[in-house]
Amino acid sequence: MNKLINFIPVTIFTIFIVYMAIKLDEDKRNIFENKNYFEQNKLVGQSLPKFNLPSIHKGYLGLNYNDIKGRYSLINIFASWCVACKIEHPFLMSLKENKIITVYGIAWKDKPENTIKWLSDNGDPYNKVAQDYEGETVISLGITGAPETFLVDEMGIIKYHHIGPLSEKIFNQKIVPLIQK
Amino acid sequence: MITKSKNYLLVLVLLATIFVLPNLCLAFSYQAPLEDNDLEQRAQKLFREIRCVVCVSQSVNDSETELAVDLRTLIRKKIAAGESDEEIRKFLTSRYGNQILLAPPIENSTYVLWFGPIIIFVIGLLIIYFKLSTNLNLRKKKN
Repeated sequence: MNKLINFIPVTIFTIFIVYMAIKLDEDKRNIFENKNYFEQNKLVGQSLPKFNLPSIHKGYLGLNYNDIKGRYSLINIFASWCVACKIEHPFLMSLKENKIITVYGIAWKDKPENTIKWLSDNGDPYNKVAQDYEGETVISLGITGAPETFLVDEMGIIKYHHIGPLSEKIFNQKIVPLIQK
Repeated sequence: MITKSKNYLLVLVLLATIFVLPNLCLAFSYQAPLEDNDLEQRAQKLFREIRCVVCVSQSVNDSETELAVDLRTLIRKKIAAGESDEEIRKFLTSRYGNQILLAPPIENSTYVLWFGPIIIFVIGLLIIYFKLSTNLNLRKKKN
């Protein structure tokens, strides 16, 4: 009996270590599978934070969080310096050409002249393009990089958040079912 | 004679580079330093608590990525606007989740993490204590 007691600390310690190892592995797997530590944006399911951003064009109306309400739409965070943004660009163009969904653009930490040039070179898929040169609104949206995309419903609730280039596959698998509900 | 004056000039330029340039860099990298020392101290403390979202094993304090710089600016701005540390933490966790804090908060899912080692240590101490005391008792009896 006395001898068994000797094993109690070792047993508890082993259980503890195994439990921690499992938890750590879960964490690691999450990071690798999602490719991002901050994959889960906590704003999903909540209403869009208030923001008011200037347009990239001088003298044009900017983008207000209220503008985005009223219908399902996408908010796409992009920049002319962002390489991966070029990958998703043709798909965004096809969304506009086929009038599938309204897309609003937020140019992140990008000089307006660069954004304008980029859009005239590659085509402008956006209903409105605002600039967040300070990067403050982008932080209040929980963004970790570009490109990232939000799906917002007609009430202004964020329904989905995607990190990385948007593709037809992701759009059909993740976004379309949310709109059809 | 000419070479000598050239040398002086070179030394002057070098000295200027060594002493002036770093200051200029500081002035630029320190976006909006808070004048109030207490507020700046609070900001600095928060910088060390907040994880950089791009380089996840670093704090915002240690990172020079643009997002970290922006986060520092935002934290300073919020402190200057009179927000409490807790409000700022809440603002960030409501966007990025608890992952944004370098130290996981104490809550149901992290009790084992925070208190497990302490409990194991205490159990170990208790067992050593009982073992030693029974050994001592045995020896006393033998004597």
